[in-house]
Amino acid sequence: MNMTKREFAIFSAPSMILMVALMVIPLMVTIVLSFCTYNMGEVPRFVGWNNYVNLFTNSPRMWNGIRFSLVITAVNVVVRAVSGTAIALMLYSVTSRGFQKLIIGGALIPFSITPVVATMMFSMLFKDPFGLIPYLLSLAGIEISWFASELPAQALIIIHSLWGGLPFTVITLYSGLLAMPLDPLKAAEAEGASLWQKIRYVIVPYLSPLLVFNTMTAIMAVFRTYDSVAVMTKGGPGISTETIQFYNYQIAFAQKNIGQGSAMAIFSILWIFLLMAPFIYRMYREQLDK
Amino acid sequence: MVSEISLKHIGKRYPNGVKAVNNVSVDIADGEFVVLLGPSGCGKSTILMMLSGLEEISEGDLLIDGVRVNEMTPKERDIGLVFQSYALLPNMNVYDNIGFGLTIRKTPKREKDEKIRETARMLGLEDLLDRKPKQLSGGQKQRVAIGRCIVREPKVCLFDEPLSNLDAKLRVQMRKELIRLHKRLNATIVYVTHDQVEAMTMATKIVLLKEGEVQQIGTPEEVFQRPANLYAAEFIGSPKINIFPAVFQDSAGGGVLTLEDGAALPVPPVQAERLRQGGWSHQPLLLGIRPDRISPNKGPAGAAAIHGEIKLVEMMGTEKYIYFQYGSQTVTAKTTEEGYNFDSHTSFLINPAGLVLFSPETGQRIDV
Amino acid sequence: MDISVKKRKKRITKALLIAGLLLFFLVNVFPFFWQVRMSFMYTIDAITMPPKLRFPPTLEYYREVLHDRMFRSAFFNTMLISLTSVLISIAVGAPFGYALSRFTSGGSFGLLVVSLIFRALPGMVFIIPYYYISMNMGLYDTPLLLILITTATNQPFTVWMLRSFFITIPKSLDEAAMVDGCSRFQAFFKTIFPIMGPGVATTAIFTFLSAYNEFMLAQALTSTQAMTLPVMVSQLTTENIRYWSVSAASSVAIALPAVLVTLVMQKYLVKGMTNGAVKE
Repeated sequence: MNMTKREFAIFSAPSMILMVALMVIPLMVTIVLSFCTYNMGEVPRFVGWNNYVNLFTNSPRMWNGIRFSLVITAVNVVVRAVSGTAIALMLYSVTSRGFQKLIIGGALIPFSITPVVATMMFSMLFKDPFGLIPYLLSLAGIEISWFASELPAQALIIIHSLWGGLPFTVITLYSGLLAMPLDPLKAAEAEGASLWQKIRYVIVPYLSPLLVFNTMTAIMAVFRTYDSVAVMTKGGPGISTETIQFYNYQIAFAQKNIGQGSAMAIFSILWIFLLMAPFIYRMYREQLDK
Repeated sequence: MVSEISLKHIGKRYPNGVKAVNNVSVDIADGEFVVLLGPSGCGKSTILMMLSGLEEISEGDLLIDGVRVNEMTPKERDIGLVFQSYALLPNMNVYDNIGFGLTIRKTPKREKDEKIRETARMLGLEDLLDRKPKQLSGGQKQRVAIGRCIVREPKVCLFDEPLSNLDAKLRVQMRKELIRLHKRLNATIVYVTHDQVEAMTMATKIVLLKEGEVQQIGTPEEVFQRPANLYAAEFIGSPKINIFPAVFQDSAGGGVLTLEDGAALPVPPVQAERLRQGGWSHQPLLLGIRPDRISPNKGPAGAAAIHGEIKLVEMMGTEKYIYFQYGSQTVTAKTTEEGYNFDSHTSFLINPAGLVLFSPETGQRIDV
Repeated sequence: MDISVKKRKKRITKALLIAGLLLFFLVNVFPFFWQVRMSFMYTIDAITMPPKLRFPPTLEYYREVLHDRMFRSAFFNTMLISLTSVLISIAVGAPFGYALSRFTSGGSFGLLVVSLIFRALPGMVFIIPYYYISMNMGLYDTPLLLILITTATNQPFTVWMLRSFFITIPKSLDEAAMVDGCSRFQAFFKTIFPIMGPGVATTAIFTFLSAYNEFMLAQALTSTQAMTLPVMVSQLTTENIRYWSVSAASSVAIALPAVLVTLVMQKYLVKGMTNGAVKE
């Protein structure tokens, strides 16, 4: 007895209404506003493509934000995929269940900690002259000013995002490994496969849907990095650690340029879709196969 | 490629103390089709896995061509393995699956291609080379698994209940194909199954196992006609053998075996003498009679006939299985004759040839 | 290769594995541990390098934090917003998720894409209209506003998770009830509702964490009245070292509910991550 359309409509109505009213409509508003200029207290004035043109021609600071966001995203995607798989495999090959649970428990901490709190923790660890890290590094003779130099500051933001995201990848990949059928692995062993060959021909192909999922999750979460920048570096030194979302926030609220801010928001959506497109396509192809 | 395999006192003990396999010794000559036969849990798959190298051997020695291989990896042993679940790699097509072992060994492309295509042709898979496993039927997947095993021409092909997941008709067909393949490739095969029909039709040698120990090793005829013990007699043959309690009454010039209701089967002098020498005079023993040796009596009842009330007649085509109540047990008879009804009392004749005797205490066959 | 060499190699590999995993563990846990440690130390001790192994512990900063009115109000707000958001999310999302799991039509992949798209949208896209509309409507800086927006933005994910859970419940269960004469609603409440506990718990945790940890939206849409804990954290400063221990204590206090919930409901979280990922 399949669900009728009417039944479906009733069950889905509350949720759909909520989402349409509170997400779709605001989205529309933003799109409209992106074609206007709007100052508080006034009525928005339609200005056509002005805001967008401005973005492309007049806004090196925005491109700076896009660039840095892309860098963070790229690093995250690659590191999460490679290290995540490696760590998940390591976890999988350890025999003691208790040990595995311990590691997973530990991995849940970065996942659950409020990102801003994590930011605070990293600040305290890295800040001169009382942070632990600078002290340890100085023992090795290395002096890095994490907050005052561009590259270290950027690295700090990236490290923060990796710290928060890698454990999630590890947990999902590890869960996937637990569900992996063992027979193909045994067959590979019987055919003489080495460890690397087993990883390459059996394990990674098996994990690939999960990897795709994780990559998409990473892109969605990391491209929008805001919390760590807003609290730790405030975009500095200079604008070196500005992400697109951070700059967007500044434009919209600090500079109160709503039109421009809306246009930038829409623009960043396009970027996210661009990045996710190949993976969505991949998932689409897999659906077709089934 | 000559390959001889010797299992010498092979045993498997698990860390929790369970001994799955105990003192198994088998010699496998080149080109033999050896079937490890037994019910679930008898250790047959464990032995196969120890042969392959996927399981460690706890006790005993495994020799391939005279070389002790206990510590060798599967790759070093040069074996092929076919799984019950086929274990094909889902992301590769048939071509790559078959050639997987060759890819691992970095075989040159042209040689690899030739071998794959020839194997595919042999198994009727040429048109399916581009397909992925999820697009194949069970029988096709099984053939791909077999292809993967034989393409490398390994020293021995190991099969772990490969036909268990197929439907009955397909199983019959695949049995014939496997026999054909065996003849054509002259490969050494070790095959695990719980299905005695498979064993009887395909094997050149059967190794019958129970709870980790060998019960009997022999050709299908040997195991069928001269089962080593009660277990072997009851496991092999369909329908199951009938076991009657009997007493050997010896007399001058021979003797009889008397059954429950007084029916007496004559025993030839030679056999009678052997029984006497074995100390079986006037001793109770167990008599095994296969259903095809029991047939409905057309003529007058004689001393060697037994009487019973028919409880059930199973139609198997031209053959019928008649189940009748004889004293305290249900006896199975096999016949091609017509016209038997329920609840009719009939007498049955026992064909004295091919009867087997067992000791009631040990279950071992009495050699006569 | 010689047997003993093989065995030694195996042992070394295993040792490396464990070491590597412990390193991973350490990296994950250490920052939080460090913070907790600092929160119990007098500032002077906290900022001394090399780190002291022994120090006089103090609860002074926790006392200060917990007595702080702003903290209390922020805590109350955050809890209110998170828990209400979870409640509404589930109440509204469960029927939808259930419907999606039962409604057989080719639209399931399309729905997945749509929910992904909405989940991917950067918060700025919503903040701008929300800010200015709420200003005009007087909803600015109220918990209600945040409840609405967190519930709405979490819906796609919530519905998705619930759907993947409902799919595992066989259709025959509610179909049997309907054959017996129940309407669809009755079937839902009689057969599905009693057993949806675990799936709901899993989804609830994710939703809770999402709402609790939300920063950007909260910062934009609140100022003093409806301030949430994450926003409060951002106002703590690391510039003035006098406040370091206070900041540490605050951070720990703020992160603690989330961490506790996670550790307690660990089983559900991991199951949720598995399910969601594998089903996608």
